[in-house]
Amino acid sequence: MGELMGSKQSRLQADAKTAWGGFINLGHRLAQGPNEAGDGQGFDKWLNEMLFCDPVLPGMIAKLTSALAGQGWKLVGGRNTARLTSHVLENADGGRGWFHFSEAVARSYLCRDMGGFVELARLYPPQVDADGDLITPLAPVTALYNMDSTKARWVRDKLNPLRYEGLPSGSMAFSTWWIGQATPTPIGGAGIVRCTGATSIQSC
Amino acid sequence: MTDWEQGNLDPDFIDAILLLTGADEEQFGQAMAAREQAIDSKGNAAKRLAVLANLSDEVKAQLLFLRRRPESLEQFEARVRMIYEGYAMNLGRDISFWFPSPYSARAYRTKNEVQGEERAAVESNVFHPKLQEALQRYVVPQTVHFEFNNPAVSDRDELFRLRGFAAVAKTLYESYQEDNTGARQYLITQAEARLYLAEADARFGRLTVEQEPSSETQNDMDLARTIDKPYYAELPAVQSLTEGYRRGWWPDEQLIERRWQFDKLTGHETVAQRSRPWRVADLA
Repeated sequence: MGELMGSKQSRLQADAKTAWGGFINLGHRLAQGPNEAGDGQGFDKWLNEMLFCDPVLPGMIAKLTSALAGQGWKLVGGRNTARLTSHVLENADGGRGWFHFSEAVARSYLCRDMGGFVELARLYPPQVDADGDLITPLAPVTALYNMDSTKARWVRDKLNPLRYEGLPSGSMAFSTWWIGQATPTPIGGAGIVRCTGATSIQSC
Repeated sequence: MTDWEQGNLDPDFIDAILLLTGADEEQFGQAMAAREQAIDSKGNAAKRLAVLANLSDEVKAQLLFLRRRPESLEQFEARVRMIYEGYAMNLGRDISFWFPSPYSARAYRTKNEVQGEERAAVESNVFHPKLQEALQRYVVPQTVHFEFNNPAVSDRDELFRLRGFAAVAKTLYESYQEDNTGARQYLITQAEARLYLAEADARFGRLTVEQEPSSETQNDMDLARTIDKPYYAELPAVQSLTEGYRRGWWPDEQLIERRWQFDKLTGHETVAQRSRPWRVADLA
């Protein structure tokens, strides 16, 4: 009798810990928890790192987000206005298209504590007074862009309560009227906004 | 069908059932042997009594006469249920086999599948209404109506419905009657099973032109006028459009419907636009 043959499958070999290392690490790191408990953005960043340690979860999320993004829609209205609006939606995210746009928003919504953010480009910037209240009616939306919510941060500023920190040249402040927060979660940024009293933020 | 209807007049057609609850195999064997003896001595007429056994609880025998009129609605319901149960038992299933529902059909799925579908159904039911509302409020002009085709992404319920049709077609196709010579007569042919499925849902197959039922009006435009007009007029966006038209804010325009669709197989996005047969002035 020869010696017992080992399996050629890595999961049954002695170094199985290498094959399932990510999964085991996930358990360790989940037990450790995030660094700062009150920091919504830090929590999101930590969760985002966690996510890709799991062998199954990214696939499930990809499947779910593409299902959400693939849902058809319709517009009904007068010919010219409906065509223009449809053009904005079909060319969202700088021409990448509705599927790309809504997939990114859905991923952001599903995976992040901050929820999803959408940047609205308008025909002309909103005119506000010193208190941040609108003087003129809002201009029509001309483009939609998904925003990376891990790089968006709520700040204590009534005029520009949201700061986007993903720009190479540094951070950029956004006016309230430029940002529509698609889906804040209760423990996400919405609570912070309510505390600062910036009730004019467009959220739902 | 005629054979089946007149068949219950045959001398060996079952018209009574002996239901044994909690009988073990030996007792069931004895009951069947007694039945065989009765058939030998009395001829075909004795075949009218069938024996059903259910291996649970204590032994309880119940004799049911199928031709006797039920005395109450409960009794009638119980009898119908028993026949369903008996037939399902014959196929090695329980009664839920005849009533495919999202819950009964879960038995065929893995835990991962069920949980994934649950999650998708829940999340999609939250995500799409929210996104739809946000777009309608902040992006889409107030005179244009935006709507997702179906806010719920998961077609789970639809798939379970289709699964039910497939199960019935399979059962019918596999069922047969056998006469004394051993020749089998199948309930439906393969072509009939296909036709049944194609009638149930287009995903199973296509009907030929002759098989397609033709509409009575033969005039789709008339149909569209009668069905869609109230629907369009009731949309809040269309109402504000017509209101603005009445006040002279907006010009008279042709009403259009524009759809965005995504083909999951090819990954292609398509946009389809159709003009509706009315202008804003027609609805105002």
